[in-house]
Amino acid sequence: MASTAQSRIKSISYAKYGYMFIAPFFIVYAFFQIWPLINTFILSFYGNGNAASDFVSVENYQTLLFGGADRRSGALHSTFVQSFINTVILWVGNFIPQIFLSLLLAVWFTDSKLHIPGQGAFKVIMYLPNIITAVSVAALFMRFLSNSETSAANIILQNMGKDTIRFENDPTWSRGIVMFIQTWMWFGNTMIMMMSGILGINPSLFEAANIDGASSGQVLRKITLPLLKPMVVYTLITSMIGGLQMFDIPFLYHTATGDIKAHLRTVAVFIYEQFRVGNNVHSPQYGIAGAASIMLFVVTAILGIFVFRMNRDADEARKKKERKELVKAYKKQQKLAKMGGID
Amino acid sequence: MNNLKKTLALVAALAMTATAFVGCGGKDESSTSEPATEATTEAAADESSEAPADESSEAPADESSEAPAEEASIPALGTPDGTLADGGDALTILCWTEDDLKFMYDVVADASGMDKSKMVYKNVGSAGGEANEKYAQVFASDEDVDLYFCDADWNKAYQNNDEYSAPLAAVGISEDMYANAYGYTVAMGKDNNGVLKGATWQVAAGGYAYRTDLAEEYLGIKTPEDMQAAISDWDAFWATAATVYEKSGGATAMADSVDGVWRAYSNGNRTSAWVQDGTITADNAKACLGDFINMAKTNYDAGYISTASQWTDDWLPQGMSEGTQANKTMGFFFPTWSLGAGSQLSQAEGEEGKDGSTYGMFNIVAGPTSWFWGGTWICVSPKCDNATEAGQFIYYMTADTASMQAYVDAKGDFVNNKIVMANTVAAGTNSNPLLGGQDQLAVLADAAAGIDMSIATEYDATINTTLQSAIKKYCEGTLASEEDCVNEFLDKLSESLTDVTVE
Repeated sequence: MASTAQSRIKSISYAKYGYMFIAPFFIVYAFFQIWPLINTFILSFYGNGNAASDFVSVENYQTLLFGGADRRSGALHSTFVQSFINTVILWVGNFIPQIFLSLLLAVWFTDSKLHIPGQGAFKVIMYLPNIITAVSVAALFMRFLSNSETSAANIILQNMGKDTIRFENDPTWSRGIVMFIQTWMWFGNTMIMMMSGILGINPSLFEAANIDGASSGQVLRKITLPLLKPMVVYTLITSMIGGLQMFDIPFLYHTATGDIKAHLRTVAVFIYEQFRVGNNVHSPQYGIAGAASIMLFVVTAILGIFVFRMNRDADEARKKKERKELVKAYKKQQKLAKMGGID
Repeated sequence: MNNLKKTLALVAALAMTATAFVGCGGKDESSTSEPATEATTEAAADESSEAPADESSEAPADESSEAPAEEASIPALGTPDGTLADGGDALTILCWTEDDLKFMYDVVADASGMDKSKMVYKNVGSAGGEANEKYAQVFASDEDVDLYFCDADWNKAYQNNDEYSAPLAAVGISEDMYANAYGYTVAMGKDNNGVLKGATWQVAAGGYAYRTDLAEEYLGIKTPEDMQAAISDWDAFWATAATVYEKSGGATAMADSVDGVWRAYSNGNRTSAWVQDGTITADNAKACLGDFINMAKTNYDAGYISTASQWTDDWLPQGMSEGTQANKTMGFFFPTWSLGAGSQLSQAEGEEGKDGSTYGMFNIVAGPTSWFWGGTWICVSPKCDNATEAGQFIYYMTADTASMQAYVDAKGDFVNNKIVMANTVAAGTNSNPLLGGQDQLAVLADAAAGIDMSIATEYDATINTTLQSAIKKYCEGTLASEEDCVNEFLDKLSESLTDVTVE
């Protein structure tokens, strides 16, 4: 009797409660994340509008990549290509100033010699733009710089007796503004990352450099930057993934209804435009939107792998290669030995 | 203790699951409580007089003695044919603005004896094409919708889709009830098979609302008749625009926006339907556009059309006399639904007594062309579960002479009933304080009689927005030539229309 009771007690497993507690997440995740992902892939092989249930194989991909003879295919193709170019321009234009600014600030804030007062306040203030929702940020900048003659900048220009500027229509202005907003929103975040990276570097290295009389420029170039590389690569990849999917600011930066600017249309905006019901209940273009999403995914994946490989530690890679070659040579010898011959 | 932990864990897990589903709910403002409270207070006041008065007005025969001779008698409301459910708890009306509905509740409740708390609305809270999009979301969910309002730009798309609209016969409405209505409203209410699926209470004839003080200052014009003579066609309109521009030192444009001019031109001068046999040919597009692009560009560059876009913050303040947009336009192209309290005209004038307010300083004239803009049709959802009430609502808002008269008296809207309009104009009772006491119904009666919507297609909403955007790009200089403008328009159109071939 005792033994069965004991074994029963032993067999009580608390693991099932663990599974029960994490189950809601996985159910929700499968339902709202994994299935839509798979469905996007499936939809990209189907038609658009009223023909949404017709299987069209790779036609959507063909249209987007190569265009076609009819006006519709040509128009979709050129818009898609333009949206890709826009995305890259907008991302590069916000990433470079962003990484530069956040590196600089991170180095300053972590420098033990500088002792910047009120660091905590600065960090919070610089992180704040990231907390504001994109919609509010867009609304803020629309009041300040936009096509509207009643935007703050245009009122100032008018009062100075100058011509008003249509900030949205001018590609340089509008792209510059979107880049600025993106930089402004994200540099605080990147700065915190960089600071955590720098603080992770062994302080004795800095001390040794100081004792050896290295200038702060030398410390930056020879110690901080090389050891910060993994963090920079991480930031580059996450920023690239985020940047290629850039949507909210470029989408919101226009005054008149539905007047999304051709030079601000990113791939994500293009996908949304095709996907939504728009002005016509007949025309949600799931096929085109799905195909564009999949292509965006593929491009992001390829670029991510590429960047990751490029930035792998070169020494490590060489050593790995050497090790591989040694193993190869050893195996070859073994093989020869088995066959009884001597090389 | 253990129980407490378990309960807490359960609550936490439920809360997480619940938040994951939050996105599924509709964002629509539901308004059940508001009209209900309103109803109880007002119903109490009305109760005594309500019942006997409306019983008699329901019978159309009683009306014939006081109305003009040509009045056709309207059959009484039929009974639902049973294809739709009945007996739901509330008549839910899907809309994008509740301004009109608040007046309608009173009118329908008085005429039919329906309890006002039974009528609720669901406001999707966004205008234009966006409302259409929100509608699609509401229909995709299982929310209760009995009736819904449809804009002229897209009502064809709903009526031609049996998933979204049921025939009006299902709620006891028949075509012969619209003998006194403006003909085009009935035609627009039918789907491609000729089944009546929508009815409207309003006629959206358009006119040109202008600032009387500026007209006197720059043109020496004192009466609406003289103003109409000065802008009787497009050539005269632009000639007057030149004078205004010159006299005002380049400060005042004649037209409020390119979009406004296009509305008037598109629904007044266009003679060809955009889509024919499922295609938009380049030739037909040219025929539809006429010389509009050139006209817009020339006059925009000359400063005769204001640079503002419709529905932006720059647009309506142009009608005021102070502020950054002060006096930028002489007038607006407004339809009937823009002239009531709380609508576009009142926003353009600003609040009475405030700095720069031009309250009551506008007058309306027919303008260079006889045109119309939109209008709202009431359609029945196939999921309707209040067939009787839905029928009553449509009947008393769109067919019954007495209740429509009551609506005109309350709201000053131009209603879809020739008898009511003739009586109102003849009686001269309507005076709009926003127009300095002018009767806009009399001015627009001719335009209303001339509305022809036979060339409307279900794609007009997309076409209008795409075209307006392309033309504005050309006007603002982003596109270099007229040809680029047409190409841009057709390219963007071909991208967004899947079932129409754009050549």
